[in-house]
Amino acid sequence: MKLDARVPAGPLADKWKNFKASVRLVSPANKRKYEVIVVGTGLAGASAAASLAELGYRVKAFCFHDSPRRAHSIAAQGGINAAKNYQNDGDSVRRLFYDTIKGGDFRSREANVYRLAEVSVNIIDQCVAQGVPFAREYGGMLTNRSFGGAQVSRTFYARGATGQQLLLGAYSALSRQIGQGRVQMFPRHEMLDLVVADGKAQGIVTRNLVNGELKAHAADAVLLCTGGYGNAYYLSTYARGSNATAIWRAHRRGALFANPCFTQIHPTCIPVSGEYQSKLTLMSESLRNDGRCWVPKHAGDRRPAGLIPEEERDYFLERIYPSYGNLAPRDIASRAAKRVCDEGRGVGKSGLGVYLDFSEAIGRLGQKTVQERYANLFDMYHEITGESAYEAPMRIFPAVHYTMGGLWVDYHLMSNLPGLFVLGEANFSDHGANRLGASALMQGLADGYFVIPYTLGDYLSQQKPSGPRNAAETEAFWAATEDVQNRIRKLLEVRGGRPVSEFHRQLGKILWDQCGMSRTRKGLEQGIEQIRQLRKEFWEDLNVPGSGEDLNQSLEKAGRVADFLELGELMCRDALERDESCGCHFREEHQTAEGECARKDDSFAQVAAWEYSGEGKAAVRHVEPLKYEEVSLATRSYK
Amino acid sequence: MSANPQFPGFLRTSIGRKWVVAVSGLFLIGFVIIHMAGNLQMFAATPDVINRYAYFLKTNPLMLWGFRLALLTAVAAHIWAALSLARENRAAKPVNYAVAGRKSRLHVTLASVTMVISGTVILGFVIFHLLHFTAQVVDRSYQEMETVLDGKAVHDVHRMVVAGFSKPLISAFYILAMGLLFFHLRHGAASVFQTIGIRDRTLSRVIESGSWALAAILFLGFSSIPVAVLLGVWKL
Amino acid sequence: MKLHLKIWRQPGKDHPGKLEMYDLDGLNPDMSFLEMMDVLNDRLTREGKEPVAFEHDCREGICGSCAMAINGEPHGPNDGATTCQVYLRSFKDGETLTVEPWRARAFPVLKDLVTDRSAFDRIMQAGGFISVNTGQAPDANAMPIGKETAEQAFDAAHCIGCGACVAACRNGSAMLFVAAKVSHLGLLPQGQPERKQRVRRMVEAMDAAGFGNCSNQYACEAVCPKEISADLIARMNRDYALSLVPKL
Repeated sequence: MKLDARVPAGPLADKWKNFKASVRLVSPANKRKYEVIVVGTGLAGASAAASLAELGYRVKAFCFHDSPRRAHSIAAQGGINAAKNYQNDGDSVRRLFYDTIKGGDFRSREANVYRLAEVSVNIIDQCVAQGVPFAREYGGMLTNRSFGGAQVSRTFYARGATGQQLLLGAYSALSRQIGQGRVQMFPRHEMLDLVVADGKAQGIVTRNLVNGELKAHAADAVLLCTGGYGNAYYLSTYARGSNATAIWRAHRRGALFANPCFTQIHPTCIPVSGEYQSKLTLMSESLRNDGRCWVPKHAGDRRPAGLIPEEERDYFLERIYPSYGNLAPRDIASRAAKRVCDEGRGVGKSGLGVYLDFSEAIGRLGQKTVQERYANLFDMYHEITGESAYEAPMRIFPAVHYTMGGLWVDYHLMSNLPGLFVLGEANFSDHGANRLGASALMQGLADGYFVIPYTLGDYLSQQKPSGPRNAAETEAFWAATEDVQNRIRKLLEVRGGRPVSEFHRQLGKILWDQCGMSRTRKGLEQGIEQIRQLRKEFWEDLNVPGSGEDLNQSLEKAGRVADFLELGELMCRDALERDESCGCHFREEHQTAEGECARKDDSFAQVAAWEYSGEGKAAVRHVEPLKYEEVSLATRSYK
Repeated sequence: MSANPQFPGFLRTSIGRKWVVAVSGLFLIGFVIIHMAGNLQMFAATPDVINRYAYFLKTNPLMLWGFRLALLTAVAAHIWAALSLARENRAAKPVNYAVAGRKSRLHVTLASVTMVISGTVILGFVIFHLLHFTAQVVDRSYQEMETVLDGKAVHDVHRMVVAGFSKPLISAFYILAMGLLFFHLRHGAASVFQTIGIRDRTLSRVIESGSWALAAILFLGFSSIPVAVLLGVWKL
Repeated sequence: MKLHLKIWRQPGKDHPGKLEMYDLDGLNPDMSFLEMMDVLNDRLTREGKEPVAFEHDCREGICGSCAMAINGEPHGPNDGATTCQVYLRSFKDGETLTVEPWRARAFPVLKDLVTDRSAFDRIMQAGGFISVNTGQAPDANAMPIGKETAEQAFDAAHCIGCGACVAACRNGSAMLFVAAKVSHLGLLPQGQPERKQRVRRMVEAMDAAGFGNCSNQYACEAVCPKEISADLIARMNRDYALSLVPKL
């Protein structure tokens, strides 16, 4: 299969401008003839649904939550990047572009990333106009903080709840369109299949989570904005409901899945405290602006932090990466933390943790300033651990946080299936092998507010509006609905002995061990075997109580875990086939003398896009070569 | 915009009716303060002071009846709005928790949860009070009490009050009603500021203690008269 | 540690419900309340019984999904915390906890501890926004906004829409929720053009949804996980009245 990314011609800086100037349009009178389905109402979905409805398209939006406002974008803490250069510190579109592509270890598509940097400035304008209360200086101007992987301050923030404020902005725009009748909102509806007919995505099948009703919805285009799949690891910073079902179902219907092994492990999370743990809580990267990471110099030093003298502390990030110090990118910081713990220098009861120390910052700035900057994070830490980070250093450890992989899309954000668009974390496009902090919010909103309104029009202008259809009477819709029905029945009929959470926890452990921060050929091969075995057990011994005709949370979870059990194998396959190290993907076989990633640009400067080939059959790996016209592939150095 | 099409809707909305309760309540608070000031003339050196005051009111019927009409309107509006809100409030919470939360945490105070009860008793009291001292039909002998003021025969209010409060049961009822007024105002007076939108974090303490003080002053002021009568300060 | 739980079980919207007793042993005080619910549900599943339906998602106090009254207090005993941020160390070993869904007419129970809070969305749809289409915005620094104002707007905007205010209110009133949104947008210069219309529409939508009225007790403020101040209700009352005065 040849993958055409449809990148416009011309110099990098002019591609998006040229594209917009020549894009094919749908006239205002015709827009209302087209129906668009948006699945997911996080930053990408809500902003897309609102923007498309404003343009005049008829939009149907779906989310599994009780309200679109609950999507997990809401939990992003630290901020959103934009190349505004309000700080006069040398930022520019070009620099944001370069930082992002370098941060991704040169495994993302140049043109997409450049466009992302370009529209980043519009996002801030749009959000401020919607009433997002970003942090301000006394003079009334917007203020910025620094984030990992950058030497400028370009991160806009709203205390420690930037994602919440941005999502509420997009949600308010969406609410306005719902109130005006331009968007039909379906909360508590989960997409369980994609309908493909005549080679095009034409609709979806949903389950009403309250009464179990299955329904097919037809449209001229389907937008999946359903977020990432990091919950495959069970323990992660994701919301408990975050899942891969929408994109995995689309994948099974023919959409290619790109770079599934690219998962971000975030360095600053609260360490696991026990077996029962259901969730890991992130401590925003912004803390690394003022917090210093350290462990004892000597393995086995179990003294409390306060009793370890300065000269016996190893500020390992500052030592290894002097120019970025504590603000080294996430993959690098996580691996460094793992390494010192592997050396037996980890702290806390489990030995799986490093200190994030604010005593120097408190001394320099005073407790009041530190409180102003991070109070909610310190409170959160206190709530969870019962410890005060003002008195003793925080303990942190890496945790799964984001997935750079996702459905393959071209420059238009359209998958290989015509009519299926994928936005935000659900696609693979902009972050390569590692995402920089404060870039996820940027990408979600860029896709939804500023990219899809152009690219979707370009597609629809070439389609005849299908008009109102009775979806249930069309063969493809009817068949897809029946597939969903059968699958639900199958899940309910296993009637084994184990709750779904048990399988999920086991899958998570396999993935964390074999496909986590550090990977080996042997481990991955073993992981694939283990997952296959677990999948077999799942279908033999799963217990889903209740029926499919009412609110049944076990059934919802079981369907999602069943998909993770398939996706997990693909993640390992992808990690196995990518026989190099890059960004988050660290294959122990490929490292430099200093233990950093050794990329193989000759053979792996490419996107791996996997094609589903049937139950129990090996997926087929396709390749989109990554051509760099303007940047030269360099070895990433943050030293 | 000149004409305001929303205005009739004002009385239908929750906030609109809360404004009615607050503004009418504020007017009634003003009235009870004046009323108390008038009553305290009982303690003047001679009964003439309060009798002259009563005579002054009676001989200005336009003012008196204008004021009474305004009072009546305020009372009616206050009751109507408060009851319609209370009815909605009950309907909005059809099921309560099997276990009630801690009162201290949820700010459940006796005064705030008994507003309808205290208000109803106060209304009953007001009716009795009007029959008792204004229409003077509870004991018709009050109508006959006269005294001479500046050479004119006028109603002897001072004697009527002393006679009225000489009956311990009636005095007790008056004092009880004033106690309920204290409760009603402790929550109600503070609430006025919230409803008309001038309460905030810095003012709230002043408002809370101010309301408490006002309610207490009114209670003491009004109750002082039956108490004084029972203690025999004045003889019939 | 050991806990006795009395949990509200209700099979569906139009079914009667009742409290059922469950005993849990071997709990860890560092476990979160919802993790304890997970443990209970796994046990029920193994016993072939239906697990307790409850809403939860982010488990870090920001999505507003979780919604349980523990011993009659929405989100449990701790100030400034959602249910998911309650840890078992907040309770005594051997304590009995009664767990119920939000109680308010406007939030009907769908199943067990799950209620329908869509009324909040309808209020937002009526006016909880600034009408600006994508692409219309001027430069973000074109309109200076004082730090104080931005901070105040944030405090109001921090509302997570969980509904604890309604659940705690004796009158099932949503005024804290509505006031938070009205104030967030009303404080900012961007929100001024629609300020009057917004407060009117949102208040009307609030009334239509069947919420009760504020009787100024501030239980809402006490249980709000984001500690939103009831002062905002005063602000809304004022804004609402002023919205009816022409030319002001």
